[in-house]
Amino acid sequence: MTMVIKMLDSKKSDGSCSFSEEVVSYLYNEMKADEKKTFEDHLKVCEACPNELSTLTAVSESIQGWRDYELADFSVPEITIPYRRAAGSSDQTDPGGVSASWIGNLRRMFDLSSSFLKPAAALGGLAIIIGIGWILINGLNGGDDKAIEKAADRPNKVVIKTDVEQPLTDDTELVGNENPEPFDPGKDQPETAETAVVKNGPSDRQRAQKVRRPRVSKRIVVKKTPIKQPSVAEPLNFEEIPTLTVAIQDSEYDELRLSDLFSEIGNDKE
Amino acid sequence: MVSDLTDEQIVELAIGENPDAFGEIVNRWERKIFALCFGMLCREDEAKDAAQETFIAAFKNLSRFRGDAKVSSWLHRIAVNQCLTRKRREKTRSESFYDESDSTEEKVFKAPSRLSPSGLAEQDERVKAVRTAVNSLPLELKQVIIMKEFEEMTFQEISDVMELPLSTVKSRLYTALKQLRMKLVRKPLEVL
Repeated sequence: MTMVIKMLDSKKSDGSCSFSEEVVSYLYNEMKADEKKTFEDHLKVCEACPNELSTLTAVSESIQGWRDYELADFSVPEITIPYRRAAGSSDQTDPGGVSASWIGNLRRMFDLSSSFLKPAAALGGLAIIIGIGWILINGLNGGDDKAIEKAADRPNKVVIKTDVEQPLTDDTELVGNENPEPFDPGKDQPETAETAVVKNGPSDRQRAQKVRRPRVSKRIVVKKTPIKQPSVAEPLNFEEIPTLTVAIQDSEYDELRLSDLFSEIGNDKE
Repeated sequence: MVSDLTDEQIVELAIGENPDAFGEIVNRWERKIFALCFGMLCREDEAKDAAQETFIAAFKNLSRFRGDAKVSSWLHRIAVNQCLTRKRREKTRSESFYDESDSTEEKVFKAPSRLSPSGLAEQDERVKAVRTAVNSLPLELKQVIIMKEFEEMTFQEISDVMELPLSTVKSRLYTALKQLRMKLVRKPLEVL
């Protein structure tokens, strides 16, 4: 019924027929029987549609001629499906190498479809997270710094953190040690560059720098130094102000002492 | 027998206990899929690779086959996507995907030799003109015309593959034929 109504008013302003798109259905024989009969009746009275039909039929035949020509000796290529390797994977590349690309190989390398790799990857990730957390908690704000802070809270102490082994004396106390071997204070220890700094004071600092030794271990020593309260009447002696706490964490600057700084300032004033 | 089963039943079998059953799907559809790829790409080597990749991609994604479409439509959709991907890749390489000048050398399919030399030459000219005209169509029109003329798919099948309304498929086909006619009229053909 729709087609009949459409057919009655099928003339467009440009002379073509609004029914013309139905030509393709007729051309490819995809019309129902009643539609086909209606359209054939329309063809008898319409001027545009028969021309349209013949033109489109010719074009269609041309394409079919091209198809027949191209596919005359049509030979289907051998399609190989890599059943075992492809199953379960959503990778679009061919493991057999037809179109394998470097990205495909990379994907296969990190393919976690294996039941063994999945838990292994999960455990590995967990271990990495735990490791990072441990480093953040104990590494950055770890034992040495805590020991230094704790020692620094104690009065009359100078905290010295050194990379070389250094014997303990009466006025020093070991508060931290990263040396894997136990340190024996009673054992005769050779005098090191850092020990020279501790014992002889800032005057030997430059000499000690010249004999700087490779990093051996990290020890934290607290030097007990009495505080001498400066008298108001007495002139201020800059060499006797050891009460400041110095916590040097970087071995590059472990020779630097604030007392040295004050000493230099005092020299300048003199 | 696997050959007695429908495509959908074979896919179910392949997903389950017998992946090798997919081979029957390949046997049934390789010719049509290759023809579609060739129509879209116009180069045998490209079409061969595209057909191969179509079946491999289908096999790898068997578990994703929802079953609400026909296996043939699903395969055709994968094939069309493969062809489009290849075309895009070619385009980004700034190369003409189909170079008319060297197409005769690359073409593998030979014309039947029953024609006389002059007849062969005419046929070559005619085929060349049609091929050029089809290749110059916009992609959405070309897809429809290839599926209809090369694959002889119904409007409904094309509609399923391209996920378009039936009326749109008809409209595109009509437009494609009209445009081809315009292009071919400029180059006089005996067939017209």
